[in-house]
Amino acid sequence: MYIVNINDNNGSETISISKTMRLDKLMKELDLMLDMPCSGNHTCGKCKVTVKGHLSEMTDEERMLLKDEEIKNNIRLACFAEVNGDIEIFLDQTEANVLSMVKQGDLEFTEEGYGISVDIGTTTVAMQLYELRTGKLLGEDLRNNAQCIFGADVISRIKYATENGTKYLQDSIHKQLLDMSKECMHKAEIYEINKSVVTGNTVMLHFYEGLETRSIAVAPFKTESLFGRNGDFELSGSQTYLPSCIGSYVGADISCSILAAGMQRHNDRIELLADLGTNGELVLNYRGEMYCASTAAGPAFEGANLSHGMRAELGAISEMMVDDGKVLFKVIGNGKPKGVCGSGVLDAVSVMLELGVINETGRIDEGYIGDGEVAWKIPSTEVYITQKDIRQIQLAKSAIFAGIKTLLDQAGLKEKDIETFYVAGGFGYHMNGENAANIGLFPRGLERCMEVIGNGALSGAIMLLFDNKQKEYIKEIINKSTEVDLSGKQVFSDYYIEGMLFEEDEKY
Amino acid sequence: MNEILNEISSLLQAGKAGKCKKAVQEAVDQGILAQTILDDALLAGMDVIGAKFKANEIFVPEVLVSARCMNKGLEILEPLLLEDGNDGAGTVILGTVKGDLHDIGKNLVGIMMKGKGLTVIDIGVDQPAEKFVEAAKENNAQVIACSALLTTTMDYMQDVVAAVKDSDLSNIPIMIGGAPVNQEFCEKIGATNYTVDGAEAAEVAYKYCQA
Repeated sequence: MYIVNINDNNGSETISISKTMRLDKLMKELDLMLDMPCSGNHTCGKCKVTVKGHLSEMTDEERMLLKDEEIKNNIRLACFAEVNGDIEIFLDQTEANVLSMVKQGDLEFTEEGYGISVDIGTTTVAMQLYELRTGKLLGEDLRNNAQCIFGADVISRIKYATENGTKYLQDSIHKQLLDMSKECMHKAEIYEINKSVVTGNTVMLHFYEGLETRSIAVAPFKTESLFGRNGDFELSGSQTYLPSCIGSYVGADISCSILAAGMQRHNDRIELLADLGTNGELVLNYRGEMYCASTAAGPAFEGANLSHGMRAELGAISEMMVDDGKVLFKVIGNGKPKGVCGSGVLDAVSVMLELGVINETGRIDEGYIGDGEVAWKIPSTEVYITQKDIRQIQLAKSAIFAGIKTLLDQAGLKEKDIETFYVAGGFGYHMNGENAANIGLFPRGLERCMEVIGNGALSGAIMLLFDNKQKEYIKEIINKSTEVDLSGKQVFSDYYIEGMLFEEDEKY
Repeated sequence: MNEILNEISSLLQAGKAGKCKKAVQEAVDQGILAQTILDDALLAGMDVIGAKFKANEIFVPEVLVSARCMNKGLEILEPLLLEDGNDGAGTVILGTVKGDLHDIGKNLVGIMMKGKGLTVIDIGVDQPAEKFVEAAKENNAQVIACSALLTTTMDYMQDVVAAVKDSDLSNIPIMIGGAPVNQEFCEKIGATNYTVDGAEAAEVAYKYCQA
């Protein structure tokens, strides 16, 4: 029997285990959050744990993925290290604490009691607790999606579910929602929940309901359900409602975002909506016909997968600008900058372009070295933007850019035809529109009519929670919407490559 | 070396597709042989890009924009190369496997193979195993090359390997590539070869065709 001592900010806890096991297995069993983008494939080097004691010798393969300094500081990769004796684990738990803004559209309060609305995002889960009669917010919680241990994106999670069973992903999200609802109820001193609405992308809702996802990951992308029905499971004793999804990759979160923007009412308008998350979902409303698409942007704009990336929480650089040749920035909480969140990264790239730190291909000038590689050190901080970070951002922004250009092309529209450009998502709420256009996240012609709507998915879910009639509007949205598949379209590929650079290539 | 050839190479490395295409046309107009333009300008430029990519100096976006320049240049050169009697060093069947609609990586490989003088029959995305076999038979190909971008679709490559083994093409080399694929996977499914990037894939395919 081995003793495992776990230390976090609140103290320590001791448990025992009966046999030798790999550290990631142990941490999963203990429900300790662990970021495993490659789901334990020994390739990403992200599952770093500070741990001392009896562990297997470090292999060359593991050593390659760690810095010397990290090795000195007792950091191991959980997917490599075998626990073969007593150990001590040190956790650094900084949870997110800024909830994206929600807006309520036109609605009536038809319900009584207390209700919960949830948006299960691939990277983050947001929850709010309301008094239904008045629409008063009583509590909220925002956390990293606990399913991150099974992979960072939907594809790697589907792979995990296919090989090991959907049950693991389902249990993980159920447990997390229960924890979050307890937290919200505890803060609000509420003991009973009367109804809930759980929204999210199509794959997240499949996991929530425990449905097979295998066929969603391969063409022709068949789903088990597009929901628009009550859930099979209760949330803190309340019945859950799962709003309708539009297609395999345009989920209930987007139906909800459209509802929040009120686009289903705009039959005479030409509008575009972009929900910027790990997947960038796009909706083009062409006078009552809605064309919806999804592009894989990756988690760069949520602060993940970047060397000094972090969520929009205490210590994150959230804004940056150049004034009179000097770099100025804002830190959430005004403390020492620890990293940079999505909106800060976007500003940073714009600043780097302005200062000539990077050229139009995204290459950092060789004179800038930080942390042993080509990188830009944000002046008077210990925060770096590396060459690899810039590449991640290029891939992310050109996916969004190409998606928008392709949808417009297919409808025979130009940027100038768009009357309103709704931007949804937590990152979108904080981003600087001008800088977003500077780096080419979207075509420059859209900046003039940009309207930020915050967390559209959660906003729409709240409308469904308060007002039963809103379900009719969701039906209307579904009837008007068509999912457009972007991958495999030549024009998308062309725009994707064009969009990688920081200046438009001359037309040919 | 010729000034215009150097210019084409630099334009390609800088990712300027429009200007690159114009310069290729200019070189043709100056009477430079298509093969020379291909070897000493376009491929020379891609060699630099490939080496920098291997050394982690540049990343996917730059390779893609340079490859697009190469493709634009090839549009002009291809008919001329045929006229000059370069009817190909061999034929490769290239496609993305069933269930997967991604074509950017596949197209990049195709461009590099064309650069080597190979005839590339691109059967497209989401292609069943039989399609690879049929196309190989019809075109008398020397190599089959499969691409997949997703961990959920790469397993289908095994079906292609099986379909080829079941056919009378049993000796044709099967090359595989794509972000989630590696050497270990290649050995596991019994494919002939795995390469990390387009340049290497083109080299290997060329060798198979010459064998």
